[in-house]
Amino acid sequence: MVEWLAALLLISGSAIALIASIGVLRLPDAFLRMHAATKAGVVGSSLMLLGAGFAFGTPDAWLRIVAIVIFLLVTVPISSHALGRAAYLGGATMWSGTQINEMESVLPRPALNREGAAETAPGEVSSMSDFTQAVPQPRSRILLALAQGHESEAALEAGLRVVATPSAQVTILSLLCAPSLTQTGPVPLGGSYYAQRLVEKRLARAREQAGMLVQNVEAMVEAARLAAATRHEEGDALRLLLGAAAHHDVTILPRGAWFDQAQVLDEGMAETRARSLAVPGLLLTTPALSALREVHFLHEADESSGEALKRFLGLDLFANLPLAITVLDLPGAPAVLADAVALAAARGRRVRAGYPSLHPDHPAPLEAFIGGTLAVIPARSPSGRLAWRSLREMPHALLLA
Amino acid sequence: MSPLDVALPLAGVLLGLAVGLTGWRMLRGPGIADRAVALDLLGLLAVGAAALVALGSGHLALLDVALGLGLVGFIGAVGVAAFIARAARPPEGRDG
Repeated sequence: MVEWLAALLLISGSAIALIASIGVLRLPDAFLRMHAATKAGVVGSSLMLLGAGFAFGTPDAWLRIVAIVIFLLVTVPISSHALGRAAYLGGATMWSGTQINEMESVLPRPALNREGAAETAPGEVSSMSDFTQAVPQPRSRILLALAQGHESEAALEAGLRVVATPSAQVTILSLLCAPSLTQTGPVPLGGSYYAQRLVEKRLARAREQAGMLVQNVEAMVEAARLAAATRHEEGDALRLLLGAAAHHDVTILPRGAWFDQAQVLDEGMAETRARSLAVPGLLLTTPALSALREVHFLHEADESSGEALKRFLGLDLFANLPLAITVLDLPGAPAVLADAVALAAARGRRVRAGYPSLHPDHPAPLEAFIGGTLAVIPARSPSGRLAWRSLREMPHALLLA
Repeated sequence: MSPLDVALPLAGVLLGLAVGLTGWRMLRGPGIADRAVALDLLGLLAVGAAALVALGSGHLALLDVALGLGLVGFIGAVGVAAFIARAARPPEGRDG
């Protein structure tokens, strides 16, 4: 009787192992293959081991078999979790029918490639296509970068009110600039213990402040009835911010933001900072940013400005506001302006030419950007002349494109 | 004739098929993650194979081999995962 049971367990175990391997061969992406490999793999091996246990029947064999089965049950979830995380981070392709990606904007990912068809044989994908439903509509993704600083909460709220649409997906990113907090100067003899204590104290205080800020901002986002996810990251704040911004359409950062002791945006160093923060879609907000009446694009009459204008139009932000375009006074500026206006008009924007033209050595009139006008600036312009010259002086809200 | 005389070769054939299919996926990829998953499953199949061989030969010591294979599979999978995750990070290095 025991032999029959052992035979049954052996055959069912090996059959389940075979099913697992068919799943690994046939399922369309690495994540689904992992589903087959781990669950069915563990059950298959465990059943075969139990079969061997019944066939041997000695306590000696049972001891080992129970040990192995428990070991498998403990380790396989861990290793498959690690593999799945690594596959996600490594940018493994996802099956085109994937509906929910809960890790989106939680874990960084080089390129969110949902195609999957590019790397697998066509037959495999088509055999799964019965399961395919409508791919969810892309929503505009907004990153709220939290930072301590002067009026940063009010600035964030203003920025969110201006940008958010009801379908927007908001990520609240709380950053702690660890290198600047853990830095200690020269320590006198015997002082290293206290230096360490001070570092811990600073970190703890900064975390507490960041937590309070997160709480307030979460309440604010909830009041605005937006879907939000929260992340807290520690490290080089600027690098973390840039990494996260690459996965979002719009990034809102209070102008004059501090990540504790590391100032990310320094009013006096706007030009250098601008180069390090040159992310398209970065909105530097101030509390004064309120009911917008106009968007003003500062064109530097070069190719990167043209691309920036295209990117800005592609973002589809402020589509209901009139757009003004001002070109720097360089040779060929009128033609550039005409092209830019035509491009914006072709996208269905109400567009007008701004100031006739601005001399490169004279700043744009600042009064135009106070209040209801939002300045849009090419983020990756090599010269960076007009924009930063004109906006360095006063803390206006501005959008990088 | 004991039912095990039939079940043991049959289970061996099924397991061999499974190893073949999984090995095909491991060779074919296409990504490193797919290969790692296939390798993980191969480790589990090897544990089952060790159990079958122990039963066929009557050597209990082969069950210890199964335990060792499971351990190696686990550590290997975690190692490969760490490698993939590190390769995906930007090259400037890691922060504290």
